[in-house]
Amino acid sequence: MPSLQRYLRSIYRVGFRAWWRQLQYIGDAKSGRFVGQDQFGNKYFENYNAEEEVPGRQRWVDFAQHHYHASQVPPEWHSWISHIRKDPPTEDAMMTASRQPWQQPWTENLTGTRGAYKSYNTAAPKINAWEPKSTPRA
Amino acid sequence: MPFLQPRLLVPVGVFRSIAATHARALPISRRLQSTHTHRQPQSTPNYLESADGLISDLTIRKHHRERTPRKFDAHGNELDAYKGGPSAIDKAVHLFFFTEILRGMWIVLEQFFRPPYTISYPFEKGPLSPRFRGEHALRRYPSGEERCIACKLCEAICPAQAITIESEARMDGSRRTTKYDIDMTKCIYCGFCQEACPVDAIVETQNQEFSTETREELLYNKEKLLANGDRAEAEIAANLHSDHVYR
Amino acid sequence: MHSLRWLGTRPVRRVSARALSSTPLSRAHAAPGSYHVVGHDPDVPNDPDSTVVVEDYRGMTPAEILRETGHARTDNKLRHFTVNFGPQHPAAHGVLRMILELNGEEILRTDPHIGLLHRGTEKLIEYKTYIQALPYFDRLDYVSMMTNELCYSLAVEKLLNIEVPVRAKWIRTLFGEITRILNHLMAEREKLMEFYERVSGARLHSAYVRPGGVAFDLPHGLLNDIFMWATQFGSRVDEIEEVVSANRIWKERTVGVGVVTADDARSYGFSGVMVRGSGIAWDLRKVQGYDMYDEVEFDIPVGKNGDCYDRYLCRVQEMRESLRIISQCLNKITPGAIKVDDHKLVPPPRASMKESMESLIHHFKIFSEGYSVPPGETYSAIEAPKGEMAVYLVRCVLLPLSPSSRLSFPPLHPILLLIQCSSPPPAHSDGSNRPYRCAIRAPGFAHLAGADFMMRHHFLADAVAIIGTMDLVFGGGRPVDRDETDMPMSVVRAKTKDYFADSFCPTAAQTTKVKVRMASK
Repeated sequence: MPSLQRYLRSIYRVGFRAWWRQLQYIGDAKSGRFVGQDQFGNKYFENYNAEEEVPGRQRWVDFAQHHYHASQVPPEWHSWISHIRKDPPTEDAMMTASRQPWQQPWTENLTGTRGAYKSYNTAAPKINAWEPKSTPRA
Repeated sequence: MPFLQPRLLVPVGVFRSIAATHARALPISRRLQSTHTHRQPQSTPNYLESADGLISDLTIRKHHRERTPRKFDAHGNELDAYKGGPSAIDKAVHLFFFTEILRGMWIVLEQFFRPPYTISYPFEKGPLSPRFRGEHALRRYPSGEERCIACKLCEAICPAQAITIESEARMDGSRRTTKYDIDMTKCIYCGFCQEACPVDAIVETQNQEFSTETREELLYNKEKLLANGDRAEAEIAANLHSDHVYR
Repeated sequence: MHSLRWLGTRPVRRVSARALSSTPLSRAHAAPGSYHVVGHDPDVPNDPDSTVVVEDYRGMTPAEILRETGHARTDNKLRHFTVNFGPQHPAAHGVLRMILELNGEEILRTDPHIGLLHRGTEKLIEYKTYIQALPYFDRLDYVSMMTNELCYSLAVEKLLNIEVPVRAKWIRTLFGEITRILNHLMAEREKLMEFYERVSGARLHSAYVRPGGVAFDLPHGLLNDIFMWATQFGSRVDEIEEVVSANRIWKERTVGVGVVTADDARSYGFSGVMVRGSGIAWDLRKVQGYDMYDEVEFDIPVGKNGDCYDRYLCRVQEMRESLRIISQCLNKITPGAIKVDDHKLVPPPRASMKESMESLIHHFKIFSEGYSVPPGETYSAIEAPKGEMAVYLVRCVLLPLSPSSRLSFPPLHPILLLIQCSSPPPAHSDGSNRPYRCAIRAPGFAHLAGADFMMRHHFLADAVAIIGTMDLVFGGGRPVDRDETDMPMSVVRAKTKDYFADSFCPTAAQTTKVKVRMASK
């Protein structure tokens, strides 16, 4: 019963359109506070009302892409959504301070695509082919 | 009877002697029982003292037990084995009205109306801690200089021998790795490399979503590990900081 | 007593026994193709029954097999059939392969085959330092990780002769009991693995309990969360009991199934719930009280009948006792150090490693070379959730003593002598940082040896219940010898046990046979 209540309440809160989208992706009607949006357009929500969400379901992401993948969440938000950090990266002073100017943009896990990482040797080869050098004859 | 009994691999004699004694004497229905060389003497469990004092007659019959052992006192008077137990009517009521089944099913029904524990990954994720040991990364100093000095402590401690390091002196005279390979298929994620590193260069990030379609993609080299660090530096540093008091 | 097998892969024991027998050969050599003559019994007339198709006879003649169950071929055309239970059976707990000999649905013989999860752990450990060996223990019994680590850590600490700080002991006790519940109960495992993750960084293979203490201190707020979990866990157990304990279906499946008498439990070397279910109050936490088990109050649940139902009840009650211990740990745990302060044995804190040269040297020494323990050997056992888990750790090899030391009186234990004689050290004790030998005693292995007698004359469906209450995990099971890796359990057992000792009185011929077999081994 409470779950049905929660479901209907969420539909009432987020509206029919958002509910339909949620149904297509999360498969459940959820409602909560909009916490922020990352650089890829993924939206993050949370709801800490114990009567509405069980532990573990209190934070969630609404992926921007249709072909969603867990690794599309950038590391800063990954820490937030995995409940490692209390505050979202926008409000987390430590996270903001730790950001470096040389930091590279996040990419999702590209396995199975052309961009997949391929291993190679970073050291110079130990054995080199002999390249014969001959001085031209006078 | 010799004192030293041999340790027998093949219990030939057992079957022979027992079979010779009993096999033809026993009715067909008992034949299976004739080889109970290792069957224990059937001590009848006292079901009156089981959890609730209930046991169906069927169960008793199935296991070929006597219903209740008859007990006698010193004078030979029979004691009432059912004394102190539930009355016959009680037992009959429980037996015929399926009380314990209904009580159990009520719990199951309660569960039905409780919110499920299921987390719908990847939209929601289970809780992790800053200590979580996931994908490896090599870090840099805030100046952008790579931290690893090729001391090879991680290579030495790695129980799975997943790390391979080669090093050279750079042009400026500082010692750096030319090769830092981690075979992630060998790695057991014990976190010893992170503990061993004196300069916090090799860390295990909180990223666990690095599964690949081929094994080859899991043979990480130095560039890949540095790239991991370059992308996730903010997360790594923040989580290391939040756990540094414990280390 | 004559029998013969012409089968290249079979052991030659029957052949060697044949040489000692006095009766002439039967039609053995005339056996065609796929039919193997196993000889015949003098009690039975020479009939076609002595020729049967290939199966494992357990060393019996076909006549004996047929007579045993009353199925002479004239009576009945049915034979027992042999079924592989596992290694991929969902009820076989991973990779147990049991060869069941069935008469219809009734199990006549069970032959567990081991070694499918043999990973050479013990040998690998001989090539690891004491720290590096630790993660291997997580992976032995992969549902009670921290108790395995604890067992190993206690062994190393015993060799090092160190005492871990009080707080570390409390943490070990606390997580030992969490592990016990985690092992016994599937339902709460997720929450308990979250505690594991918060304290160590890994949900399963924690590598948290280390020789000399624990790896890190408990994170802030963890004890509170454990307390919150513990307050509700009692009612979870109540619910389980309400659904299952009195349920007549459950009882039909468990009461009287897989009975282990106290004698059997003792003689087969069972431990843990397998002996407690049979009425023996044996719990290493009580009898030798490692860590903080002397300081906490708890009871040992003991069964009566030794059947699956009693073992189930014991486990449920054990979870309640664990809960009691956990709540006492939460109340009694004290602040303080979580590792010994000898930085030759545990790495120094990172802050001091970065500031002090001495700490840095210790850090480098520990992570590169490890440490060397004093020569000696230890068998240290703990009460793991599944039973007695033990590590036998040998620091140095025992060499023949020098003549001078042999003169000492009263005769000392060789190891004491070894320590006393500072004369040239034996080959393996010259500062090696690795154990010479690490033997692991896993409880499930001994329990598996009882599979045959526990399942005999039960139905096939009861095998699942019996396996379940034996509580087997094969990561922990270790073969007795290296050459017994893929040997049928009956062979292994016969080597170590006086099988059928009660009912069997050997004849001279059989004794000879045994001797021959032992000699040929």
